[in-house]
Amino acid sequence: MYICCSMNATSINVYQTVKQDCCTMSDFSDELKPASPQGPEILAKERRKSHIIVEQLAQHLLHRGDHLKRQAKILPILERCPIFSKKNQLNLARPDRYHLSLARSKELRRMSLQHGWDIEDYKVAQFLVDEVSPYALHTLMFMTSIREQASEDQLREWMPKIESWEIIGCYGQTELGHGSNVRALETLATYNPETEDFTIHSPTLTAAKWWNGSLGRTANHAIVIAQLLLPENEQLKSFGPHQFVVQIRDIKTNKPLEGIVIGDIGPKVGYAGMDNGYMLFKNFKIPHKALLSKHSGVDIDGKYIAPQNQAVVYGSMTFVRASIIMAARFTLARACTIAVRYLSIRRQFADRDHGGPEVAVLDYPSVQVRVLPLLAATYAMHYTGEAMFNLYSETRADIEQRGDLSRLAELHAASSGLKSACTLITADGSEICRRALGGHGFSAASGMIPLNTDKLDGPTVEGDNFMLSQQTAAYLIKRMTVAVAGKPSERIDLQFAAYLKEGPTSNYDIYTNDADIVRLFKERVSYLTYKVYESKIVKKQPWTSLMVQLHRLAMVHSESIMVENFYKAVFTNEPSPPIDDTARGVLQDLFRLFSFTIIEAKSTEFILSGALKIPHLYNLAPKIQELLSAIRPHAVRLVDAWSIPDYLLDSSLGRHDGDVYNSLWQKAHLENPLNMTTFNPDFRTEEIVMGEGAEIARKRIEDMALGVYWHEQMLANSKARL
Amino acid sequence: MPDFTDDLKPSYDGTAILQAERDRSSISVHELSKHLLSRDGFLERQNRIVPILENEPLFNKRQQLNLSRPERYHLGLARAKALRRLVKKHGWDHEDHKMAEYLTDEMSPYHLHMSMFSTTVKEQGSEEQKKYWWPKIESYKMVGAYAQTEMGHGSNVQGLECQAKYDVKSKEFVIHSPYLTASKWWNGTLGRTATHAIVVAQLLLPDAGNNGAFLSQGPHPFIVQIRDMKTHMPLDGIVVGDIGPKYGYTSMDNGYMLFNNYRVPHDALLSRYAKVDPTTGTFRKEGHPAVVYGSLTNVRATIVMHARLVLARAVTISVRYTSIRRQFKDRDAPNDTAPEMAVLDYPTVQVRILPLLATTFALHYTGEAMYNLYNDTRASIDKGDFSSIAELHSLSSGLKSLCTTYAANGIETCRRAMGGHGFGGGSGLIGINNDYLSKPTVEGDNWMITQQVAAYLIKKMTSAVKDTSNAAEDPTDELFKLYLSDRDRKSSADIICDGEIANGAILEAFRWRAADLSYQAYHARVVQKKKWNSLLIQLHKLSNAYSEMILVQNFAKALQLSRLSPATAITMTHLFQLFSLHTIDADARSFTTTNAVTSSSLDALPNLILMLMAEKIRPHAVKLVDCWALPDYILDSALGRYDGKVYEDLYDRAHRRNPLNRTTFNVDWESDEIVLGSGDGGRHLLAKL
Repeated sequence: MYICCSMNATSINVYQTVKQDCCTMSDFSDELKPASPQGPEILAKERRKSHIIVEQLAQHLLHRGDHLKRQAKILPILERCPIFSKKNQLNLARPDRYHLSLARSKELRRMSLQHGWDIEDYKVAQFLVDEVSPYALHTLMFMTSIREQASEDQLREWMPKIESWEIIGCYGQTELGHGSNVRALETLATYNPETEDFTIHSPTLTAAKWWNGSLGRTANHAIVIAQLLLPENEQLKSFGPHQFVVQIRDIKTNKPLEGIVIGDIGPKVGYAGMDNGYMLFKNFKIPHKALLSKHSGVDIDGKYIAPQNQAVVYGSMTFVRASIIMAARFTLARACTIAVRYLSIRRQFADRDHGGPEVAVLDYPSVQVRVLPLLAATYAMHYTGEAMFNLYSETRADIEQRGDLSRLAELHAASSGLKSACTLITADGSEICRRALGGHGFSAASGMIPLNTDKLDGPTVEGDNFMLSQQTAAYLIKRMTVAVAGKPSERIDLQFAAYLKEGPTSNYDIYTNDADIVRLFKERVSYLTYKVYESKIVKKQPWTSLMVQLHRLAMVHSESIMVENFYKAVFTNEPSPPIDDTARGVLQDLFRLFSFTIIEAKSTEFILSGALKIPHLYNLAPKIQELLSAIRPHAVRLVDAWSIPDYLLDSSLGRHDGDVYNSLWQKAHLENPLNMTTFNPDFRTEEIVMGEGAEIARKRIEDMALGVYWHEQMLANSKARL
Repeated sequence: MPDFTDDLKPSYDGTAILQAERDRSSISVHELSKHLLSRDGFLERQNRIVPILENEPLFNKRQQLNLSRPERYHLGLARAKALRRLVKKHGWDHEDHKMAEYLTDEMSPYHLHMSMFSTTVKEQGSEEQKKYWWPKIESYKMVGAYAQTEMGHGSNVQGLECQAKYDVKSKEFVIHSPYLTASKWWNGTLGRTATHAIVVAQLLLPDAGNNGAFLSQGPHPFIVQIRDMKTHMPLDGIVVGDIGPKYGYTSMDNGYMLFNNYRVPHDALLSRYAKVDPTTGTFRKEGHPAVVYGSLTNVRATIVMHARLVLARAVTISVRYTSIRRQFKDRDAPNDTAPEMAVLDYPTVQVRILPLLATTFALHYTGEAMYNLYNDTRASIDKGDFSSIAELHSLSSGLKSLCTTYAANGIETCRRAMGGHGFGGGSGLIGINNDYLSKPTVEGDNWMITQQVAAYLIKKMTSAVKDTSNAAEDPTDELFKLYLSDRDRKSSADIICDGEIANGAILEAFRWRAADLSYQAYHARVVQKKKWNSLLIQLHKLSNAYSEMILVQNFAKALQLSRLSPATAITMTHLFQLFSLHTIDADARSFTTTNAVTSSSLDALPNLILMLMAEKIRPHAVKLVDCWALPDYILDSALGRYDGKVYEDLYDRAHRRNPLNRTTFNVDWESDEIVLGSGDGGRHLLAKL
C-alpha cells in the first residue's frame, strides 16, 4: 500500500478495517420524503412567476470569450472523470489535498492536449474544477513575466521549454518580511564582472521568499525578484528589485539545488491544493543571462542599462484587474445563486399577522435586504468589468497605433480602486449570503466553504485593498490640482472644473430621474476630492494622516464608476448583446437598488457634499423596500442567468432542481466517511474506535496530535547513533 | 536536518519592539487584568490549568490543521476522555472543566452532555426523574445529546415535525419521524458519541371529544436511550449519524436522527412542568416555566462574555503583529534613510483594529451587567415574582445578536488587517474564525431574535403613550416617558463642545435615538397598523440601536463605579469615547434623522476619532491587549506571540513542522506518478474519492 506519511496511513487503515454500520445498508429512511411542498415544485413555480428569458440574459452576460459554449463543451468531460469528483474532498487532510490537486493538474494538462483545448478552454476547466492548481503560477505569472520582461535571446531560450511544460515555473516576489512594499525586498543579486555571474543571497530570515504559489513542492524554476547590486567605485550600489529566472530544483530528483532551501509554508485559509512556498538562498550563483532584460539590464562589465518606458506593464496590470473584477462577480453570483434558490425553498414561521402556511424565507424583507442588493451588485460588477476590458483594448490600441499614452493614468487609477471595491463587495457579500442561509449555511453541503476560504484572498493579493486605493486617490488629487489651475485635459478634469465653477447642486431627483443618480454619485466624488485636495495641497497635511479619507475617496470614485457603467448598459435602447424589455426593466430596478443601497449606507457623505438634503432620505427606506418587492419574483431567473452549473456550485442548498433536503440527506447519511466507524465513548477507556484496544488507540492518537516530524526523526536517529 | 537557515535572523527584533511598546505605557497590566477577569476566579483557574494541558502530548495543537476532518473527531474524542480523566485526577470542579475545554479551544464531543443535556434534565425533570438520571449523568456512565433542531426547522421550534404520540393502552409514547425533514439535524454530540438524547417532539395526546384523533400540545422534551451501551450501535428503529464536514466544529460530531415508531416509556417525558395522566392521557401544566427563560438569559450573558474573549484574541494577535510588522517608509519622510513604519501606525489600520479593541471592553461591562441582572432576577423569581423576566429576556436577545455579530465580523476585520500573513495558518485565526461563524446563527438567529426586542419596545411605548402620568415602572418606561414629554424638541445633543468630548451628551444621544426609533416603530405598527413582516428591517435596526444604548450606558456606569488607578482610568474613558463615537459615525444617518446629534458634531467626528486613536490609545495598545491575559497556548499564533518572535515562529512552522515537506513529488505532467519513486500511478487518490 502507498504511504504518504505514517499518520495518514494509520487512519486510512482504520477506516478500511472497521465494520460499516450504516452506509451501505438500506433502512427505513429510504422511504421518507421531505415535508411538502417539495423543493423542485417550488423552484418550478418560482421560474413560472417571471418572464425573463434566461437563455437570452445568459448570452447577454456571458458572451465574452464564448464562455457558455466552452462551459457546455468541457463540463461533461470533467464530470466523467472520477478524479474530478468533489464529493469527498472536504474530508481530506490538507497534505492529501495537495496530492489530489497535483494529480488533477496533470490530468487537466493531458486533457488539454487530448481534446485540443486552447488556453481559454483550459481556464474554463480550471474555473469549473474550482481549485487553485499547483501548476497555476506556471501558466500565469511565470509565463507572463518571461513574455513581457525577457529579451529576444531569452525568449528563444525559454519559451519552447515553458510552452511544452518541460520545465515548471513559479514567481518568487513576496518575502516573509515584505509584501506590499516591493522596493524593500531583502533578497540580493550581486553582480561580479570578473566571473560574469550574479550571486543570489538571503541575508536575513525575513528575506525568505514566502507565500509564492507552486514553489513549495512543485516548481523546478522560478522568477526570483531580488535587489540588483552592481559594483561602482569599489562599492555596491542598489538598482532596486529586478527579475531573474533561476533553476531551483534538479529536474530528475526534484530536490532543491545546493545552496537553496525550499518548502511549503503549511496550512492556511483555503488554497488547500496549492503549495504556497518559502525559499532561501546561500550565495547561489546564476549566469549573467539570468537577469530578464527586455526593458533594463546589466552589460557584461556590470554597467546598468536603464529602462525606457514602463507603460506597457501598467497596461497588462489593468487587464489582470479587469479579470479579477470578472472573477469577483462570478464568486458573488455563486453565493447569490445558492442563497436565492435555497431561501425560495426554505419555509420558516407562519405570517405573524395572517397565519397560514409557513412563509418562504426570501419573502421576509429582512432577508431580501441582505441578499437582493448583492444580486444587484453581481450585475454592477459585470458591467464595470466589461467596460474595463473595453477601455483596456482601446487604450492598448491608442498606445500601439498612435503612441498615445494619455488615457493610461486614468485607466490605471480606475482599475486600482475598482479591484479594491469589487473584491471587498464579494468577500463581505459571500459571508452575508452565508449567514442569511441560517443553520444549513454553516454546513459544507452549503457549497459556501470554497467561497469563504479560497476566494477570501481577493482583498489582499495583487495589491492590498487599503494600499492600492492610495493610487486612485493620488490620481484624483492630481487631477483636481490641474482643474484648480484651470488647465483641464483629461475627462475627469472637466467634471472637477464644472464642480469648482458651480458648486454643489441639490436639486437632484433621484426617485424619478435615473440619470440624476449618476450625477449625484459624481458630485460626491468631486466634493470629496476637493476636500482631500484642500487638506493635502492647500493645508499640506501629512499623507499618512489622510489615509482613511484617501481610502474612502477611492471607494467613492469606484462606486461612481460602477453606477455610471451600470446606467449606461441598461438605459440604452440597444443593450449589447440584445435583451428584451422585460429583462431590461428588471435590470433597471437592479441598478436603482444597487445605487440606493449605497446612498443609504453612506448617506452622511451625500448630505455633507450638499448633493442631497435630509428630507430626501425619508423616502429612501420605503423606496428600497418597494424595489426589493419588485425584484423578488425575478430572483430565481436572475441567478439562473449566471449559468453556474451544479458541478461548480457543489451545493445541496443551491441545486438547480431544488431538491435540497434529499441531497443534504444523501451527503450526511450515505457519503460521510465518519459514519463508517463506530466509536467507544466511555471515558474510562482510552480506546477510541470500538474494538481497537486502548494501547493502539493511545499510540495512534498521540502520533496524530504531535505528528512525528522528519527533523525530529533525524535528530532521534543521530542521537541513537551516538 | 541542520542547514544554513538555522543561523539566519529576521531583519528586526520583534521581542525588542514589543518590549519598547510595553515600556512606553504606564498602564498596570496586573491591575487591569484583575479588574477584568476576576469573576469566578477566572485568572486563577487559567493560570492553574494551562501548564497541566501544556504538559499533555494529546493537547498539543501544532499538528491539528494538517489533520483531516474525520481524524479531528478521533482526536477530539480522545481529548474529551483525557479531560474527563484530568478532572478526576486533579479534583477539578465544573468551572475548572469548562476552563480546560475553553483552553483546548475545540468543541468537545462530550460538550452537549455537560451543557444542554444535563441542564434540561435538571430544569425540566421531575424530582423522581432527577433522582434516577442525575447519578448516571454526573458519573458519565451515559453520554447525552440535545436533539431539538431538525432538517426542516430551526428558528421555528413550534413547527418541529418529530412526533411523540401517546399510546394509552401500553402507556408508552411512540416517537416517529413522518418526513425526511423531521430528521433531527445539527445536534452536537449526537453523530457518533451519545448514548442518550433529549428529543424535542410534538406531544400528541388523544382528543377526548374525538375518538381516534390526537391533539398537539406543542414541542416537549423526552429523554431517550438511542444507542446500545455495549456495542454502541443505534437501537432498532433509530437511524443516527454525523452530518459531515462543515465550517468549524471539526472535532464535534453534529448529528442527524430519525425514528421509526420508536417506543419509549411514559416517564420519558420530562415532567416538571408538563404532565400527562398515564391512564387517560390528559394534559396538565404545572408551575411556571419562566425560570427557563431566566436560564436562557444566563446562557446569553455567557455568550456575550465569550464574544469579548474571542474578539480579544483576534485583537491581541493583530495589535501585537501590526506593532511589530514594518512596511513602507513614511511618504513624507525627509530622507531616504528613514526606517519603515510600524503597520499599526497607519490610520487605515488603526481605524479597523482599535475600535474593536474598545469593543472588547464594551462587551465586558455589559456581560457583567447581564450576569448581575440575572442574579437579581433569579432572586425575585425564586420569590415568585416574574415581572422582570420580560425585560431581561428581550434585552438579552438584542445583545446576543449585536455582540456575536461584532465578534464574528471583528475576527475577519482583524485578519484582513494583517495582510498576507493573516491568511496563513500561523495567524491563529483559522480555527477561531471557522468556529465562531456559527454564533450569529445558533442560540437564536441574529436577525430573527431582534424581533423580540422590538416587540417588547413597541409594547412599552404603547403603554407609555397611553399613560404618561404615572411614575416610571422601569428604566425603559422612564426613558420613554421622558422622550414623550419632550418629543417636539428642536435641539439635539452637542457631543463635541469646543473640541472637547461631552460624555454626558453621548449618553443622551444614544438614549434619544433609541427612544425615537421605538416611537417610530410604535407609530408604524400600532397607529398605522402596518404589517409586521413589512417592518422587519426597521425592527432589526431598532433592536441594534437599543442594544448599542445598553452597551454605552453600561460602559459609562462601570467607569464611574470602578476604582482603577488614574492612569488606567483615563485610558478606559478614551476607550469608552472611541467605542461610542465610532458607533455614532458608523450609523450617523440614524443619529441625524432622529435629531439625536447636531450635524456640527457629526462633521467633527471623523477627525476626532483619528485623534483619539493615534494619540490616546495607540501608545497603550499592546498593554491593553496584554490585560486580556490570553496565554500563548490558546492564541496558538505565530503572529500574536507574547514574546514577539513572529518570524522565527512562522519559519519554524513552515520549515520544521510541515509534514508536506517530507515528501518529494513527481511534477512531470506526462507521468501518472505523484510521489517521486513510488510508482503509484496516482491510484491511491482514487481510493480516497
